[in-house]
Amino acid sequence: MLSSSPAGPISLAGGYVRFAAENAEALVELLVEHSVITAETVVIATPLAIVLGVASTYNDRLATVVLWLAGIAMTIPSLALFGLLIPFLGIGSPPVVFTLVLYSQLPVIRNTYVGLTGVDESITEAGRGLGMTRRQRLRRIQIPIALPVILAGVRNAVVIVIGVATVGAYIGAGGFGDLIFDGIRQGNVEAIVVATIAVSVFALAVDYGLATIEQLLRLRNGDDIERKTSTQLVWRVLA
Amino acid sequence: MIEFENVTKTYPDGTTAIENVSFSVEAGTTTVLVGPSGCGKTTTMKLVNRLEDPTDGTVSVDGTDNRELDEIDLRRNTGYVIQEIGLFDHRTVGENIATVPKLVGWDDERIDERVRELLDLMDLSRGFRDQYPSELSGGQRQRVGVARALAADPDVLLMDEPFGALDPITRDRLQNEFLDIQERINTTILFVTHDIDEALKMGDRIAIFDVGEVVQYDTPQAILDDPKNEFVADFIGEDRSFKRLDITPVTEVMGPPDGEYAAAIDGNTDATTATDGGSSYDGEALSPDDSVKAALDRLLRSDAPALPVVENGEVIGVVADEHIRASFGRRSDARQGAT
Repeated sequence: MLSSSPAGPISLAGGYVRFAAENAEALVELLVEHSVITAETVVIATPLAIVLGVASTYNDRLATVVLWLAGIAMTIPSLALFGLLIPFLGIGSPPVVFTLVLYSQLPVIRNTYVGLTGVDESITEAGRGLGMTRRQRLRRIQIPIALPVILAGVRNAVVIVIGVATVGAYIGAGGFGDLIFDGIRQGNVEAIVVATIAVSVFALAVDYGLATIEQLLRLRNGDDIERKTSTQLVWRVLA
Repeated sequence: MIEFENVTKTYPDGTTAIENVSFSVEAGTTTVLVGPSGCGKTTTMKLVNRLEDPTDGTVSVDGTDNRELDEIDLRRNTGYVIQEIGLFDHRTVGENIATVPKLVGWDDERIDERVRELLDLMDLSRGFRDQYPSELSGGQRQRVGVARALAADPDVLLMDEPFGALDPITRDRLQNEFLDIQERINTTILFVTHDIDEALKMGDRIAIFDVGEVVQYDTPQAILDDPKNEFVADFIGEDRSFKRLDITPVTEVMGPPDGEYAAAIDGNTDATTATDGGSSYDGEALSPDDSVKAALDRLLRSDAPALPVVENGEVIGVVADEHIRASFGRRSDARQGAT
């Protein structure tokens, strides 16, 4: 049936474009809502996870427990968490951000831990021999060197956050999820497809941007890597 | 001055790195700790800046037991160079060199001047200052490593196989340069290596280690003359006399300039000198810094029976086969007597 009409997919795509054009203003509004939820989550989650990751490097047992708990947090269904949190945080974005912060912990903690412990031993040894205290080594050597790895964890978390935030619309947090739930209620396939594409494009764009920053950090650290076009461009501008 | 007194280091897992080691390093000299891997030489060195603490005995720096000193202060006053260099790749060469001065709170102007001074000292172009370590060659990186260790003008410099990872040509060049620098900085140096040739070349004194103990502690000459036991003799290798030639300056064997060879050296004083690298043979005169090995090499290549030793255009001595043979004869007799 699909192949019988060559105009089929084109008219379908045309329908989505038309829908997007007609609702451009609303889409921008949803993008802003979605971005705000994502940004709030990242701002809260990243420092928390980095602190936990750093703490984990001091104690192996703590590391095991922290990573285990962060892993468990990821297995809790988001809808169930929303339900449990509404009595305490009400509806809207607070319970959603809380949930998303939990989901972001594992990738960032894990990458912080791996990044810090993966710093070449000769470098930390040199720092120790030159008379840096543990905190100075952490701040001046380990964290800067681990930064690209930590950022890779943040990237990972952000993609998860942008996806799961969609479900948050169910309890009134807004974002592209609104359009999807509307589409489900009204049987409007165009709304669902357009919102889904918007979420994906948004996630990919943020991921690409962060990946570029990650590469720039790697280059500054003296790593020899294959550069993305965007990295090459920014690197040349900076140099 | 660094003193080891009956020092024993046993690790928590029960392995003993060194046992009852005693020796002292005089201020301003270079002492080389040499031995096969796993003999405890690196551990011994790390006891000085308290990267390790002894299980028993004391290590004192200028008369103070170093466990009474704050370990962070102690390390900032002690230069530290390792084979892997351990440069901070995310910081520029200048920032790397400035590490310790920054930690101890020098002002920017003083740091700036010191960094420039060290780049010059290590024969690094000033343009390297704002480059990142990954852009440098291995030899240049180790120069930066040494500069970083010397930055705050430490009293003691610890070097753990600093030239071990470099290719032979670069290693040789850096060794020679470092011998030069060493004369200028007047720092007490503890140098760890597994390479006996490097030890003989760099050390004022050498401590030869065998599994956890110091077997012989003496000057390079004395060790070559009279290895204490078979282990030391084996470690030095077959070509002992040859090694002696390499570390003995011609000034020690040369004869008086006005003796029987006066005619042979006449008019042969304005030539350039042979360096240890031995690549310049434009002339035949020797410089007082040349080794006897270089002198012998030139004698073998030359038609002349003797070569003059020239300092500032003046002949201060003369070297012929017989001078070399005479200064080594006694030692070969002694060796024959021993075997």
